Amino acid sequence: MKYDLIIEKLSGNAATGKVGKIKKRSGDTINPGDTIFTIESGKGTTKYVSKYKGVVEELAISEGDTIKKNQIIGKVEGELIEENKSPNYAKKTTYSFGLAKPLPKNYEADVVVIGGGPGGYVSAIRAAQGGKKVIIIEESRLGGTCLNHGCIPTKALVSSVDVLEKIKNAKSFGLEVQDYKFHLKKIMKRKNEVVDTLVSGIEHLMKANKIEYINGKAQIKDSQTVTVQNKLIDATISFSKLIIAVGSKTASIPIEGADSDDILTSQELLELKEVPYSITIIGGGVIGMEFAFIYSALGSKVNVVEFLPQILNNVDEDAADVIKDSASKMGINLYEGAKAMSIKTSLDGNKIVEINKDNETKYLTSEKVVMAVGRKANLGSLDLEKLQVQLNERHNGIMVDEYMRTSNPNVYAIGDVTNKVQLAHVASQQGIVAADHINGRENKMCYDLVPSAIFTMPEIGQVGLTEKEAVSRKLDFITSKFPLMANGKALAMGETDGFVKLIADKATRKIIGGTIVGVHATDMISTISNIMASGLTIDKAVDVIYAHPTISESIHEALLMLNGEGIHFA
Amino acid sequence: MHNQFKIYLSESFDPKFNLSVEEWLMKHSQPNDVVMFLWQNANTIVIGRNQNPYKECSIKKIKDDGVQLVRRLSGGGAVFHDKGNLNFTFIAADANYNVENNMNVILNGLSMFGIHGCFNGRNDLVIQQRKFSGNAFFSESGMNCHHGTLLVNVDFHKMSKYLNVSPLKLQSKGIDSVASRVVNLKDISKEITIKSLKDALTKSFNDFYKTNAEVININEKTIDVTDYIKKYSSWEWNYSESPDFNVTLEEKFSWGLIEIYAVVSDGIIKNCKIYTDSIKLEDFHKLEKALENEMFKSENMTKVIKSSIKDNQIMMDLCKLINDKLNN
Repeated sequence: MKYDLIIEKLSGNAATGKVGKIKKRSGDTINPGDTIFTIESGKGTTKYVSKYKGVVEELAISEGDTIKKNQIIGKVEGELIEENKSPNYAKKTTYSFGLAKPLPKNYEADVVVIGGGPGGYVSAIRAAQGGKKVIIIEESRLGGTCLNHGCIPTKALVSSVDVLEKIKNAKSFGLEVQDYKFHLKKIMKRKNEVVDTLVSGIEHLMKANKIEYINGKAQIKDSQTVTVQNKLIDATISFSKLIIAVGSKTASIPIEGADSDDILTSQELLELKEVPYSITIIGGGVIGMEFAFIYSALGSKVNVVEFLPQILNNVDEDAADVIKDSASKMGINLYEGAKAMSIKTSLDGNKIVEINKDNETKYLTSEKVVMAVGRKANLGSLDLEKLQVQLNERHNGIMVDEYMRTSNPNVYAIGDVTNKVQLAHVASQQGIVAADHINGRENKMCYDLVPSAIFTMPEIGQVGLTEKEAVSRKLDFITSKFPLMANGKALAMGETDGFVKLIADKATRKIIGGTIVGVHATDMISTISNIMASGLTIDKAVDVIYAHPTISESIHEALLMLNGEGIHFA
Repeated sequence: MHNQFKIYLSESFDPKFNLSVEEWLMKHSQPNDVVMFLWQNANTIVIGRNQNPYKECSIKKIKDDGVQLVRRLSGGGAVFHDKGNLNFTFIAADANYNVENNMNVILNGLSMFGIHGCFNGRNDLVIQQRKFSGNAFFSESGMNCHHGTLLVNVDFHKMSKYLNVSPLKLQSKGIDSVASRVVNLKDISKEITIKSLKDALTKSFNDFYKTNAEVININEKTIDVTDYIKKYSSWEWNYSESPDFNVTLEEKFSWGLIEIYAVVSDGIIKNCKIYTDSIKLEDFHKLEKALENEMFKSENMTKVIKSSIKDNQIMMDLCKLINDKLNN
């Protein structure tokens, strides 16, 4: 029988290749497994191997020719020999490797840090900078939740989605985009690259600061000793000071169906391979809202169920309103003041969330349900009793003082496990305070000026008091609000949603809080933090020149408006 | 099926042994094996599977300086190895083969020295647009090999001395090398040495796969790859596995200008033409015929010249020409 010789495979993902060395010519007899010629593409070679027993009747290629996948390159007269399905692996290697036992190793350290997140690794570096011998233990990957499953990967997704939104709105910039496509897998791949780069950066920082990094799960042996076992070593570490930085995990709510395996968390939302047709997110806080915008932009129909009367309940109503408007334009359904009652699965595999709003029962159906109701301290991961470390009054975090010391003076706790403010930058600052105390340097933790950054569309940056907090504290204050609509740069960028709002104490004339909603809000909030931290009065603060044309001019305008002297908005 | 992670380190600096080990690993690794193999060659030119050694380097110079020449199984261009270079090889079956993972193992390892390199479009690893690692690939029977160089402290003077200086006029249908701007990693990070890089790659491999594979040292005494070594030592593999080529050997002698034009296929001269402006009465046509179907190898060719050419001066000159230019 005659068979066509077809190019079935090239090296890697190449579509074309170059004919390398030809080993068989027309008229040659061939057997299955014989190499007919080699193909080279993108520095990779493969052999074109015969599946036939017979004679090469025709070979229509020469060395150096470019060939394509599926191209017919010749004919064989003979018979097809069915190959053994499994490739021909040789039976046994001469080397066999028994399971090596981890090597017992003893360490002594001035400081042991358990947990390599933004609290742990920062405290490790700070302690090492003070001359301490530091060992850091991380069960998973350095960088913790923030870097691996939180802040950073979501920002990578937000950046991809930003580009997508720009393309969708290209027309308003005078551009016509004929066709565009996105590939979630590639978006996720880019995200992973960003994360991997940063993780390796932290590994480098550990090395540069001569911090010993042990990968594995730490266990408390006694109040001066921890052990870690991984496949390589069985380490026993005695320490003078211990910093607990074990972080938090996704919380859930005790309703029917909440513990089902197919309920997603933020972590799984960062790993999806396909965009779900529809998603119901339980929890309209920062995490819930960030993902609501991401997946809505990617094409999911998104519902958000928030128990509290307002999504993003910690920000002022006017800030939330901008986000709500934007969400509604994108087709995100928000259910505020709505309590999730149960999660059920329909026969077709869709999820049904039963919600109660205004004493009425309603049902939301969607392909996926996401639990985003906050995070709880990882209290169970260490034997705190052995360490004589006590919990706080509400038993939802480790009790710490202003130096981050626990009830055991040799043990410190920082980050989410303290359940003070669950933000990466708070954990880092707590880490610095703890390490400073160990290094004998005076530094106390203060939570007055903790900024928050929310990556919705548009963004929110917030620091100090919100207006509603100022009201509830019955402060005598003045506010000003400058809309981005009146800012030249914002208009040029086509990003006019949002405002800069400042709150000042009427008596001291100092800024006590600020909220920025809009483009670059999270980057600009530090300016307000700095004004607050340096204790400038309004009258001093307005003397600073802000570059034109920038969004940050809005801060200047808001400062001027506190004096009733706004220039560009009336 | 759980993956088995294996790290081999060659104690030999012999390219024939090391490439043999690589091929042996391709043949003998199991579908669930994920292998990293680290090795070094003393002064060696390694050419790509479909390259022509006559075109890629000066055979005479490398012979004179005792540099070995070996053809590898993967594609791509010619590279120079010395003990300032560390080679890595990753071998895995289709299901476990991921070039990106391999690259990450390398890049993560380098980041331990504060070296943050990246891919370029040609499967090289570069830093500041200068290449420190060339990579190439081959696949067979569901197994894949990805290997590359890591320039730690390579003698660039030698590299440029041996590569890209072919004294022959040659047209080949094979793969041409592409010259790149290169950089030694040592010049990026003072901390890096071959030893510390081996350790870093071992750690990086284990970290990446969250495993604890121990390094297995291998050398000529611990593993028998004699059959493969025969191949990598052979003239047939190293010189005559090139795609067909045309070559012109030309030189001006006291008696005139001579051009020997040969079509070479599988190491055999298929066609030969000789042009000369010599007025001496010498039957070059007889030499043309005698060279046809002879091996394109200096030993064989000089033998033919000696038996075909009568004039002693011409005979000696031609033999010198062949020896100088081919020296194979």
